[in-house]
Amino acid sequence: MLTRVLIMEILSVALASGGDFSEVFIEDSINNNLNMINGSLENALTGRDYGIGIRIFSGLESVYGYTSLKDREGLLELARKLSRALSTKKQLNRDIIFKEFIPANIHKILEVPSSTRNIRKLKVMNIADKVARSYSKDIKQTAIYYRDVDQRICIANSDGLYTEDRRIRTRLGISSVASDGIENQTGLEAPGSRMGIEMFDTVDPEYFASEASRVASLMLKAKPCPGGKMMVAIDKGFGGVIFHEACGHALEATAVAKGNSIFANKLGERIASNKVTALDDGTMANEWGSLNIDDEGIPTTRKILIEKGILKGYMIDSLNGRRMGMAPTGSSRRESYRFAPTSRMTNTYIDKGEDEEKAIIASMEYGLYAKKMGGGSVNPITGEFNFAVREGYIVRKGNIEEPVRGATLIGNGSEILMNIDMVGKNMKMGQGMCGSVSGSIPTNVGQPMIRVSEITVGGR
Amino acid sequence: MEINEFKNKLFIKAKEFGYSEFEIYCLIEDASSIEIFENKVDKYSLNKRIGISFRGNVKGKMGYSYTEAIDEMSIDMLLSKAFENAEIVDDHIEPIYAGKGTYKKLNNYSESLVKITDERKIEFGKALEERAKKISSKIIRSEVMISSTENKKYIYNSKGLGLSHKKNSLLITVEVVASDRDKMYCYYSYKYCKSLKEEDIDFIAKEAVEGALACINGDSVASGKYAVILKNEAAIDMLETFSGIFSSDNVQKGLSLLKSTLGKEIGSKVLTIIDNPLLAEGLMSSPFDSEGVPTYSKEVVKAGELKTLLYNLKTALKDGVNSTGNGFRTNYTSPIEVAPSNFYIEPGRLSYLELIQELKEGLVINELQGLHSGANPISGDFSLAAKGFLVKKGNIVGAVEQITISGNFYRLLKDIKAVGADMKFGMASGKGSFGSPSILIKEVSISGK
Repeated sequence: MLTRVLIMEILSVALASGGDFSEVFIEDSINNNLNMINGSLENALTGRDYGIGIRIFSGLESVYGYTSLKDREGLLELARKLSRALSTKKQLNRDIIFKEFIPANIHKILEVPSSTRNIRKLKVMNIADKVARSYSKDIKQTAIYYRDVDQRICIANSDGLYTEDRRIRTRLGISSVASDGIENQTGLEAPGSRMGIEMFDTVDPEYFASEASRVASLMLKAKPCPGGKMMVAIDKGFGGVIFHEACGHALEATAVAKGNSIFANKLGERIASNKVTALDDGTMANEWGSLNIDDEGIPTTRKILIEKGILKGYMIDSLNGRRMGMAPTGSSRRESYRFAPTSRMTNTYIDKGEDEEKAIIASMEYGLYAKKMGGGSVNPITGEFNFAVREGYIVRKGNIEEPVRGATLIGNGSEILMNIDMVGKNMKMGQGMCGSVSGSIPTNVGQPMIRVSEITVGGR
Repeated sequence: MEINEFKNKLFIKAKEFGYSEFEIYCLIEDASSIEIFENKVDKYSLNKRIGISFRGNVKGKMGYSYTEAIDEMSIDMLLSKAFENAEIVDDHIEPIYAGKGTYKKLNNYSESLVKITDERKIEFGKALEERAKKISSKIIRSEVMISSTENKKYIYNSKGLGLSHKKNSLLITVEVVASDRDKMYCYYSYKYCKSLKEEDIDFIAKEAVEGALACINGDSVASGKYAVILKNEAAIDMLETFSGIFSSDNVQKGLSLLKSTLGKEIGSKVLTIIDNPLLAEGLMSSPFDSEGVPTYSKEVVKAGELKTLLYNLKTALKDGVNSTGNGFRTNYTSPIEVAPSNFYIEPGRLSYLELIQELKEGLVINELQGLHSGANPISGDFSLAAKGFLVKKGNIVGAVEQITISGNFYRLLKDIKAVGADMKFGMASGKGSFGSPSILIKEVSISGK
């Protein structure tokens, strides 16, 4: 890391021609990346990411630069060049006095992955691989990955903030391919947590490995999903990706501030059925999407986004907050020093409701039960989204019947929120990597089982 | 510490550490981008990135590590971690190249690009934003980004190989939002340039605006089987998503269904796919791959017949063939993989409009969404949200949205009826640079109303 004297110098130089706020973000991370295919460890890679990001605001204007070089002259030159790029040239003389802020660590780590030998992680992979491959004779391929990240950050700004944090996370990915020689089908599981290797005390690699293989084998024998508009029940857990894509992105200030969102200027209005209450909570201990502080150094919060269908709040970073005239919500995130931060999600979920899961299925005359969801994407301007269904079943007269594959759910965020007409009692979360303007970041999605009265199902 | 000093220290210590062979791959990248919004510089960024990747052979096995911090601590980290990683990986012979063969001279560095000032870029960006807004009163917003990248890569190894290559590029993108009866529609266009020309302002602005306006009043269509044209942008996305099927690594691991299809027909007669790392304007052009092997242009598929898979040294050794010079790293943070360079479907003769006439009845698909989730690169199955246009009697009659297109990529290759002349390359991605003209497909499934 850099000395405080140098950081202060950078912050001052950054304000030399027109800026009203400057910020330094320093990152020094160690990550491990192990990849196994069919039980053979194909490659093992350890890396150190290091760099310094400098950001300056002048009103609503922002400039950002980064470098991996840590020499004083280079850093000051970068700060100077950035400040000259601002269109205003009014000079502010500001004294910066650091007030150190030490965030409370809400994520206890027992076994730090960056100082544990990789052979220990290989053991977990071997267990997962063995279970996944021996699940059935249809399983022809397995791919297991293990990733851990130990990110140390330091954030300082011209308002006097000086803070440091350390973020450790671990993830195991299992992909099983079932094949009958003509067709291949894939099952994927990827549990992750803001924990060290002790994650595997509570996350059973055997369970997730057999789930991946179960879905792949099942989908191999499944018929293609029929297409058309129908009623859909989406199961708890990763099914929350529907809210993440269809609504979450459109509630980020990144989209809202410039009016590029279907939910801009709608605070206090009904945007969802009264069954829907949704939150974004970055404070949940050891959860995949949690942080002590965001990437501007602001402690994360628990935010109600939608309460009984009424839009209550957005996820806001400081720059877009200026545009919107609203305070930041501890939502500013970035993949690394290579990105200027912006408002993003943390752990985002639909809150538990009052319906029994059995009652939801029993209520369906004909429709699709989406038990496992894959990823998806959304255009926040139009609200159009799409998701893949990884494991689906046709429901007839309240009974779950044959499995179907290849289904996609498509629709519009504002419509689907209104069409959620039943919400289950048990909320569960699933882990994902969310990609957007400030890079790829870990986020949790979550929900109880929900029923959507009508949605377009893409199939064959 | 200077990079050269770092390299020298690292090489001395690597020998002491017990590596029998080792190599570094170094990337230095300078980039800047300027975003214009409402006639102002909305975002400005200036970036310098340095990364050094190390790989070393310990008792016949290869360990990897990388760093972005050029300091003493990194030297120890690179050597000790790669050593630890080499000990746990399974035995696969991954050769380090001594540099046989001749390297083509390739100039991907434009001196004129370096001379374009920020002021000029800002002026150009503002003009482009204005122009886009003026074309139609329905355009309510427009954002422009101008980004420049310059990078140098080096490979040095213990077998005496020392290679370097530098290139630069300038990318202009404009995104526009059209509004019509309370609904918003967006579209973008882009162009890689060697200079900032006034005539490009019109061209880029028009493409984006026409794209957005064309989406207005879109409706779904009845579910069923349709003949479709995958417009060049959509065809590029499709090719990129499934390009992995041509990787020998995936074939060897059973992750591609092209096993034992060499010399056989895997596509329609009108389909030729080329991997050309020596294109003057190619985004992924390079005289050598990330293993230092000389690169060359090759037909991967010719008139429907699979001519070769893509190989790196490791996979070539397994199949008893030569590397095709496709041992690329996506980045210094990743190991050597098999990847295409500039990979494209060779254009045919028909213009886009002629293709539409040829189609007569069906759909044009110009946008595919959710490729990372709705497409299975192993099975070839895809089910994707799509947008486009309805074609009747050889003419576009309206916009189409809220549909999904589904099928199988292997099947699609065989169902190509015609290939257009409107060749285009997509924006750079880590996986390679992909290009395609619009292609006419006999039949796919569409889900809509």
